[in-house]
Amino acid sequence: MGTVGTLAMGQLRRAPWHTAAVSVVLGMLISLVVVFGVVGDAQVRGLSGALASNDADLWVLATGAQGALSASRVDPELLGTVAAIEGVAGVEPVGEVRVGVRIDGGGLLDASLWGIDPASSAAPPVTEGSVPGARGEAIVDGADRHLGAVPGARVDLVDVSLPLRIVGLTEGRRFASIPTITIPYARWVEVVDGLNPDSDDVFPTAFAVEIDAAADSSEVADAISVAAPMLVAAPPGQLAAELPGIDGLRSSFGTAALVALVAVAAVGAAFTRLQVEQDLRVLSTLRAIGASPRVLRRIYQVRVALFVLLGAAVAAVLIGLAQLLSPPQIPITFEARTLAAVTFATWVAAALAAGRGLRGLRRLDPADVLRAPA
Amino acid sequence: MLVADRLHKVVGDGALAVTAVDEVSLQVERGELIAIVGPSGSGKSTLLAMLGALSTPTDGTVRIDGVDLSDLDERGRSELRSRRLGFVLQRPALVPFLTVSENVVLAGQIAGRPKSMASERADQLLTALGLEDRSGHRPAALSGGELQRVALARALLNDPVIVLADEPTANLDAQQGRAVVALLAEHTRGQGRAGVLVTHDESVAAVADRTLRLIDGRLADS
Amino acid sequence: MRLAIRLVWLELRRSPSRLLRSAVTLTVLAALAMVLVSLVDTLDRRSTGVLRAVEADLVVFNVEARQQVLRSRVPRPATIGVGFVDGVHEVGVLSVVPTTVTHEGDQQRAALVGFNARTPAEPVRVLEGRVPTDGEPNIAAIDAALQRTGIEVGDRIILGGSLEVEVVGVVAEAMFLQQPSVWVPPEVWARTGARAFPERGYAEAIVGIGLVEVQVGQNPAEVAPDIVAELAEEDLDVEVVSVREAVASVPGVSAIRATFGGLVVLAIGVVVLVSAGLALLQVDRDRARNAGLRAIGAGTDVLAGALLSRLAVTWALASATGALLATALAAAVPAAVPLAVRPAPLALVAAVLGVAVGAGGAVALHRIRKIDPAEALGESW
Ligand SMILES: Nc1ncnc2c1ncn2[C@@H]1O[C@H](COP(=O)(O)OP(=O)(O)O)[C@@H](O)[C@H]1O
Ligand SMILES: [Mg+2]
Repeated sequence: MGTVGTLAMGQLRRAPWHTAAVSVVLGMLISLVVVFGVVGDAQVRGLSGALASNDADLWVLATGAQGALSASRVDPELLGTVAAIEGVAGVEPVGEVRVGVRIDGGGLLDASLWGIDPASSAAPPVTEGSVPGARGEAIVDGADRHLGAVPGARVDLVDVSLPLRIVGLTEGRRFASIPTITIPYARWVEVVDGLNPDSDDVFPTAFAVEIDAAADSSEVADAISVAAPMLVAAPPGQLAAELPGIDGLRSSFGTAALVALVAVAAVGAAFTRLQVEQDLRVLSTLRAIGASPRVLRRIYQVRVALFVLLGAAVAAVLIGLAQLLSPPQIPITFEARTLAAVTFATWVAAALAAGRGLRGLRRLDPADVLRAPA
Repeated sequence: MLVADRLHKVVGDGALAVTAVDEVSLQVERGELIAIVGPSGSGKSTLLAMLGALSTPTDGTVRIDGVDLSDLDERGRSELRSRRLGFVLQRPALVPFLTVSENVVLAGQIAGRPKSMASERADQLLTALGLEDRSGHRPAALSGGELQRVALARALLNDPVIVLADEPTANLDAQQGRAVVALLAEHTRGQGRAGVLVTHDESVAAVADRTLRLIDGRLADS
Repeated sequence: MRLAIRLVWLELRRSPSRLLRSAVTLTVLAALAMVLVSLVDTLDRRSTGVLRAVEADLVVFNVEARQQVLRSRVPRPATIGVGFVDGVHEVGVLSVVPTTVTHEGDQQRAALVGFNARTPAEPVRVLEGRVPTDGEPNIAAIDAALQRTGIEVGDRIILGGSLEVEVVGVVAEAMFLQQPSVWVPPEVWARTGARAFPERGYAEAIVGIGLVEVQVGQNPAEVAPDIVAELAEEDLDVEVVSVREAVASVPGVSAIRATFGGLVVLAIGVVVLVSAGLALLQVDRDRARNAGLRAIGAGTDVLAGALLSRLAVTWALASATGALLATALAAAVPAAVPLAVRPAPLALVAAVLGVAVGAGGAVALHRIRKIDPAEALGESW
């Protein structure tokens, strides 16, 4: 391997600019694929985290809402109907409404206000601070820290004079990509009532259902629909995946990442191929002085691996920079596993291309060196 | 015709600087073919580059038909090379996707000649050099000797006053080499042109009217 | 330059593989950029189609709505006052509420749009049939996106699970928050909304937003404050913004634009580097040949011209093939993927790509200018 390594490295060092350019290009493409994945995940989490990571076994929505929380109104009188179904261990009302808020005296923002009792299975776990006890206490998602949403901060609701105080934080439970605040259900009813002075009914958005350990959740869900045809029950993760817009968002990031992955593979392959062609004469000279095609192939594969590794290093730096510079709304995190997977795919594509390009070598007679036109 | 006066060339810079050509003066007349011989690394190519307006001397002057090359700018030197000089190089540098005849015609087009005129002249030359049945082929299909004859045809296309050749036989076997050099001689001094032939091979140099010997960048007295 | 173009043309005809290989790379990147831009474009249009379907200059929201169409509540009588403001040509109202559409037993989500016919709130592009007029009971127009799910003019559909209406027309795609839309008179909208959201007190007297068309020659930005002032006299605090601003305030739109925008910029950066890299590799690969041509008198113009023509050919091939690939991908993916191609974004990408390739070529040009004709002499590897 000594000769092979020396020759491969030698060529890299002989053309440092070229090496740098190829690595930077590969690095940018690799980081593009990784960032697509990461940003896509973050966007989906921000849009649906409150549902996707919910601990309740089933959520019950109005059938007509077609899975859109904002369109779901369930009759509170059906709480008893659901509670009576076999396999149901507990059922709690859950509310969600869009409100205008000022966090810590800041600017006017749209927020998603959730009413969930802290003891409910649907309540988000508190990762910092304390669980809301009194009516005016709230927890918020840690992702909105940059807006001043930290324990102790005050939240004023527009149009309703029922101020809230943040006592705790949760993680990964945002909804609709806006600041997400959870308060006890009773206070939520007061808020919605205050927002709609003309109407006297406040319906919960959904029921959160906990089932017996022995019960089968899909059977319980079916039983709920049978008992109350205007209700539909599903695991919250499934509802999250079916939220309006989630599918489109997920598939667009997926498409983008896939196309970028194809691009990085194609670029890796094309550059390698161009290079092999450029070096074919040098390589055939090496052959003329006795290097076997095997050794040449190995030189090349070492080179390709070095390029891809350099590219991965550049990508790591770029993603690290993106992580530092990304705004809090578009969090970019460094995911080594994704980076490794994309790097591997790039390496495979480039190695295959090098292999193909080197097939030309076999066709080259070592004697050609002496007469091939430049 | 071609007059070089006390040419001096330092190549490389800093600690790596080498004097490649040192105080070389020479003169070539119309109808004369001279050979410059010397071992490898003696400065032959460096000297030829200065004679052919490919590079500028560190010191000294080159005149062609009385024109001092240092008075020409880059464009003027390009024009001079394409219209008044003809080059035959060790590597013929033919364009791989053009046919033999197109490669020859290309020299005319670079010199700004009408294509039809250049084509006619190219056909004449290729026939004269025994390549008439090769004119439609790509360079890759030709042998080394044939390629050098194509290069000679290209060098002659614009009726140069001086033909400069750098190791035109280096990639050829002895027989092919002799054939190419004979053609070179025929088409330079035979047509009233001046010729400069650079080679490390004494037997090739034998066709020339005069032979100059270069050793370590200096002309040896002969 | 003519000689350079001829050389590239011959190269393309006789040994296409050399040129095509770099074209393939650029094609993939062009396709990537085109897909990205089309994704943003489609996500954006599918979020804001309702606002784009009408031809208004200004949008009137109540202040509490914070420019959200779904939340805006403007009393209908107030909009009549807007009609009398100097510079206003016409005013109409438009309201949106999420609903469901049931057709032959299949239920799907949709945006229910209540609008005043023959006002700036009427959808402009009617593809088939007609749009309902105010006061007509139990009829609706659907947008092209809903038509694609199999609903036709003459079919009966159920809105919100209870109200049956007949489809009388199809308007151009006008999706809102990724949902297709159904266009109905304000009365139908109010009834459906009241049933779905009892606490919100939907009523015909309360509508969503006002849409204002200003008189010819009037600057909308100057009319807007007058509308605000006029309604303030009626004790109504409103915000009047351009349609463009209203579109940007639709939930998710600014996030989509910012996120994808950043990624598109990154992708374009990659294209610049790749084309610079490709051009440099080509220059390096052809170095000996270029030195030889330079030795026989070819000037920088020929060599640079050949490089630039080659890049231009590469760019043209890449743009055209990239556009074809993006179009094919858009046709192949399921309808749920927000990827639809339109000529304008593709052309934009092609143009930006041209600049990127040009920038890449400039780097290579510098290098070509420095090729020393003396390199043609001797043998140097
Ligand atoms: N660009 C250069 N940099 C450094 N040294 C050079 C360069 N070009 C030529 N030389 C040196 O100048 C001397 C003459 O070279 P050259 O003219 O090519 O010799 P010849 O053609 O007789 O073989 C050699 O020692 C060679 O190594
Ligand atoms: Mg030499």
